[in-house]
Amino acid sequence: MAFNLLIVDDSNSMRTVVKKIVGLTGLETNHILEANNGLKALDVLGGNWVDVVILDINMPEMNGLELLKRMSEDTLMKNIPVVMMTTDASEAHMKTAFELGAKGFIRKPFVPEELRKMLLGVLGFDDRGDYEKRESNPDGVDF
Amino acid sequence: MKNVKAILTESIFEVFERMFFIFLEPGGRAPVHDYESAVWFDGPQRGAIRILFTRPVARLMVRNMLGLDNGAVTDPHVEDCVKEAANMVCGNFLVNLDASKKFTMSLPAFSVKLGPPPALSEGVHAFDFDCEAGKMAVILTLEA
Repeated sequence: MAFNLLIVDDSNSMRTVVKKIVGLTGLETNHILEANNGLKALDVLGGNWVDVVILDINMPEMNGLELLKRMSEDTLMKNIPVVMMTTDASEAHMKTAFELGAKGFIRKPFVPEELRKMLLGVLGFDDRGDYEKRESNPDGVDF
Repeated sequence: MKNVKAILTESIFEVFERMFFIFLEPGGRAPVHDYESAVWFDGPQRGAIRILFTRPVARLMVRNMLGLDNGAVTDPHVEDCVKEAANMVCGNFLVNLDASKKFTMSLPAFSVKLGPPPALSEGVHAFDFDCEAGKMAVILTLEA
């Protein structure tokens, strides 16, 4: 199952690092989209199918919490899982982010394994990267 | 207030080891730094964190963070990496200082340094470091 990822961070270097880590997870990506602030992210979200968003907070033009609020007010965007990835990890910001619907919080600096685990969890994969399937055939009948 | 110097030092080590794979040791002041990145913060305590880099240290950060060869490192790479370093050090410092308090942080600013390092005064704390590529310094300013 390939997924589309949107990375929202004003640091080009950080977006590059995240793309590399995602490549190392073994997860199959269809498109990795990028935006350097919340406003541009809204444009991307409006024109593309996105399965998960990785979102910084401290950005120009529109910060991550403002984007999260805009997403929570949109009937389609509010269902897209968002992982906050920020240095600004105070309890107040985390509380606000979770109240606005964020599914995870990862604090910079992070090691690749932390981001990998967070992405796997948010996307519904187990720790090995296998999609968590429910037993579809509990009666043992083969079709 | 907790031991501010210890908290900042811990934050600096954490950021440089985890994000840039650079292991710092306390060191002497470089006669001249080449770049500066700075973040200002406001909240229960106001102040700023400025990081001064020599060119070799900044280029090593880029190489390690992005996995680039030395020849592929550009000035925009350097600016972006050192700004992100200041952003991460400041964010970590504030959370480690008191995660229950709400601080606001500015966007990081970047400048090419010309001249000697700044003189220290009351409320200004300097931390000098050595690493395999040379020297860097962190200046913490706390307003009364």
